[in-house]
Amino acid sequence: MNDERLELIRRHVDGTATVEDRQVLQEALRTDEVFRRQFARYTNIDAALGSGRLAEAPVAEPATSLRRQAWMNWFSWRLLTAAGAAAVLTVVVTQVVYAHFAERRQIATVATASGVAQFFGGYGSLREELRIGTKLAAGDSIETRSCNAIADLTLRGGGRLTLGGNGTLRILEGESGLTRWNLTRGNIWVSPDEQGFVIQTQNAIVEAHGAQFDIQTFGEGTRLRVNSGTARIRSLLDGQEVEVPAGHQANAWMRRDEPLHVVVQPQPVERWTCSFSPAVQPAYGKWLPGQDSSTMRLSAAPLLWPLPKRDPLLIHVASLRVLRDSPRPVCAHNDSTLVFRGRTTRPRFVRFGFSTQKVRGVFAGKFETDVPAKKLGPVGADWEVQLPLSVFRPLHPQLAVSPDGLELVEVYALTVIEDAGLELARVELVPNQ
Amino acid sequence: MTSAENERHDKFLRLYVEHEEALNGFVRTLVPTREDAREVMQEVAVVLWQKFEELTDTNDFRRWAFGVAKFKVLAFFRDRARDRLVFDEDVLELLAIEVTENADAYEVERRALDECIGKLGTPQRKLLDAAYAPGARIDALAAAAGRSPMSFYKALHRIRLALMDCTQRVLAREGLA
Repeated sequence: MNDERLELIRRHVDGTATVEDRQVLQEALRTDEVFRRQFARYTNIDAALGSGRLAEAPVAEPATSLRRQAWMNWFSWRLLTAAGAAAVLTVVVTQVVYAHFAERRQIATVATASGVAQFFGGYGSLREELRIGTKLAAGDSIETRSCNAIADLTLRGGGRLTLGGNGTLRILEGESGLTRWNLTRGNIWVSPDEQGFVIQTQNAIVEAHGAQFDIQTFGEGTRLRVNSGTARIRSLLDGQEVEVPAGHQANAWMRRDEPLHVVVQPQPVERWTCSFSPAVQPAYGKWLPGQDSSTMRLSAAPLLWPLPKRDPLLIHVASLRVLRDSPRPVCAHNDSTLVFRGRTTRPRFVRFGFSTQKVRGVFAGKFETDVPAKKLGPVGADWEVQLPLSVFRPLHPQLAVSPDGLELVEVYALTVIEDAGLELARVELVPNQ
Repeated sequence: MTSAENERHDKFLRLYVEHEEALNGFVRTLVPTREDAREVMQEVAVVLWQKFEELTDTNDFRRWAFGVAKFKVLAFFRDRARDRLVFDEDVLELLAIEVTENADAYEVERRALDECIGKLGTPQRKLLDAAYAPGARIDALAAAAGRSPMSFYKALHRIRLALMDCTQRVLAREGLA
């Protein structure tokens, strides 16, 4: 294969081919079977690199790079072999010991893991990427390190537990018929399990037997929603305890002026206007005073977005928690419109998005759309964008291909790498009139 | 969802995840840019789930998915009929046949790619990571590195060719080439 033809493939793949290039390429693909195979191999490699293969691949030790490998001498080879053998032996021994230990008291198995998620085994002695099939026992923790990550566990008693994004969950105890868990942060959804189930959050303890429920934790406290069966929740602040029947919810806040009480789960609404109240912690960003004393703006804050086995990506995010801001679940429909008002101080495209969950269900994916700087209007001036939900692309089509009928969890706007001085002044969901 | 629907969805999910990369490679071969491929893939995922009931033999999922994807690519190009930078239908058909009939070979090559990426030197690896990061723009990356976009593209090209050579060596060593 000559370099000129390979260069032609390169220009096509990188999107820099001209119309003439494309004609030559097309003719070669039409008539030359070998070239066709070469083309498909090249695009196959490109697709694999672009679809997460890089994140999965190991990073080279300097001595094993392609260039240096040819120069590796006998001594360094022997040294590496010895070191490798020792490392392999250590890993094998650790895994055999650990596997034996874990097998004995397995409480849950990872059924699904996606996004950046980690497993901390044996009270932190083992740390690795969370994988399907990982067996969890007392002392183990799992952590989902991005908002689009999820970990779905099959429980020993036949139930299921799903940990949503940005969550940390640890098994405290599981020797008896009752398993004890600690949800440090994030949200979980639990399907009925024969075993008794106790979950401790930062400010509450929930106990359930055979119930289907979900728990959301916020900076301000814990919310328990029970969808079938019953569960109990006790506030660690004052020891108050209530029973929550199916179709009801209870909020345990970390403020004494908001007592623990049970209410019927409110019906979802289709319209929502964010309160932009500094009393509600944003998911991400910083409250700034607006142009007058009655208005607030949410300024984007820098965030290092974790990527598996790669340097994190710098983004600037302003994100609002719909679940906390609205007293009722906010239900999305394809013909609804999200309206964002804000401004940017530098001309950059803004990515708007929202995350969802199934009503009374689990994380259902994120949806995003980009708006170019020129469509936002003059730099420094307030803009307003009206985005029908149908223009948002699903980032997890395997979970949900459209937001229709899903509940909004967070709504956000962000800029990638560069700080564009992004601020949000108003966000609302408007149903089709 | 009922338990039967849950089961069907779980089965679909398992098959989709198993073959997603192959499907992505198939689509990428037929469309000119990664953004186009991503757009088509989203459409494909929707249609696969909608038509999943029609699949009689799950062992045939990959071939069936390739067939669905091919039609979505054709529909995508029909919507862009005025774009002269896309291939004619007969060429798309030839490429689709090539990838479908040799899907196992491409699968093996992708697996060998892990080992080859692991052998890249740090500068090459960093360049790849940057170029394939979500939302990456080559002109911005090149400017940040003080290089011209063309030299950046060419460096990327050399790495891809080195990886292709390397995967062939891995497959030859394992008697698969």
